[in-house]
Amino acid sequence: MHKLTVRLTCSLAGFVALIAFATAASAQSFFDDIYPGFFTLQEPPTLNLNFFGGGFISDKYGDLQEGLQFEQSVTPYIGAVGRITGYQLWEGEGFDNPLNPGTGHEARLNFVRFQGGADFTLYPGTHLFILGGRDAADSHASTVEGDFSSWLFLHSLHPFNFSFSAVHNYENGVTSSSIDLQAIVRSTRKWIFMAGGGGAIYGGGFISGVEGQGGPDLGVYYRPWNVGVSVQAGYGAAHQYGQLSIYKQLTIFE
Amino acid sequence: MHSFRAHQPTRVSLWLFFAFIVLLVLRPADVFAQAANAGTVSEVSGTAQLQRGAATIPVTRGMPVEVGDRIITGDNGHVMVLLTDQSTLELSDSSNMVITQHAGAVSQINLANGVVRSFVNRTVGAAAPNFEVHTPNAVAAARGTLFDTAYTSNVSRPTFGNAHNFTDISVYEGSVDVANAANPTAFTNVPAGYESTVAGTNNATSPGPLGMTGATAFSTPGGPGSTGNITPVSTVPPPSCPVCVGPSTGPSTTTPPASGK
Repeated sequence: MHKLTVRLTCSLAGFVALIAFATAASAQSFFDDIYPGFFTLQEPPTLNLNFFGGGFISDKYGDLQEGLQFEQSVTPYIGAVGRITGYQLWEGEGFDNPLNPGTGHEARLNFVRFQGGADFTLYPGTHLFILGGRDAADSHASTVEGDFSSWLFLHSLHPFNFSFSAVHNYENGVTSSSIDLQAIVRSTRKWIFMAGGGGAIYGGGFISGVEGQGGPDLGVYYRPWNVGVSVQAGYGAAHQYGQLSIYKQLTIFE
Repeated sequence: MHSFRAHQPTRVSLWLFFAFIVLLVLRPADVFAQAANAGTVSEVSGTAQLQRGAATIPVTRGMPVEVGDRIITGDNGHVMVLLTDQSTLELSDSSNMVITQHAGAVSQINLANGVVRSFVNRTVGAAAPNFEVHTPNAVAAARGTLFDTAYTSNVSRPTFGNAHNFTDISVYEGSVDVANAANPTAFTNVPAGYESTVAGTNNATSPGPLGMTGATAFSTPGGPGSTGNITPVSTVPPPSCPVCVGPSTGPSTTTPPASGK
């Protein structure tokens, strides 16, 4: 009986070792397949500049944003990111200051958001930005932000993109999120046309429950200029709204 | 009196005559034949060389290019060849190609390394040209179109496993049939605005939008080997997101609502 136990134990240990070895080898193989050259510096290094601007208008408030995001490559999968964004916010009559609740109504608020962090390329076409930062001028909040964007079925005629962004404002305690799903409707030599839907969700802090808005969106990208425009319209807590985003990408090979 | 022997053909002369006849009959066609003209160099910049037989000469503008010529560009080289059928070949830097066939509507280019952009001229009313670009692991067949062919070796790309040599086809006009050279019947049709990759011994991938799948093309920033992927969506949250707390704050506790919203 004792011999049988030893034999079984040895067999089990061997089996476990085999599985562990196979799993490790498989994991290593998977890692090498997804992240070849993971520990090497990107060659040539690149500096990506992303100029962006846009506006949001609704029954209750409106805002403009404009800024620059720059990303310095470190490895093919990790980049250092900085972002500066200027905001102008117009509130409807009688509404409290959303950036610093309890301080009364301000018809217009201006602030700048400085953020820094990293961009992780989790998979070809899939990025995760983790950013922290602080506001200046009419807002003095510290923020933490995560932006996730993933292209799925890239080797197809109509790949689609899923993106999710969440930013937490430590001053008013609100977490604002945007979610979007867009598919490439048509790709030509110069243009990419996209269509989909998305919206925003926000909650926490002084907001009771969860609120948000959503609607369909359309996008177009002009390859020769690396310029994209996206529009969205819909309905939600802000009643009818419209939103426009414009961005220009520039890659500098160092 | 002249000797009769002086007018008799000698045995050596007979042998020489016989050998000449044999040579004429059995001569290899390409010994005396003029190499077929393929076109002329219409543009050149940087370092570029042309190999014709054992000779290597610098490429110059206006130089005739013959079938069988090999054109090699250096780090900063760039060559454009206007073929006799008005099609053009544009060779990027660090590239190496041979025009192996160009007669009538049939053209074949062998790309050993680098990137070549092909504009295939199609005369209205004429039969569709048979234009092919071959790389060590792929065949791209076009019928009147504009497309890039890039071949890179000794590199790795995410999700392609152990493949280390890649042929990328980027199509701008028309369409191109792409197949692995080892399996030419299993081709993928790549329409304009899309690109496909033949990795190692794999079949061509399904086409994906230009500039988004990691394929190398003529205009890829950073040149061949780099993957300057475009992201046609903004990586920055939309304008509503960072301040979308505005409407939810409700009427101010310090300022009476003016419009009763």
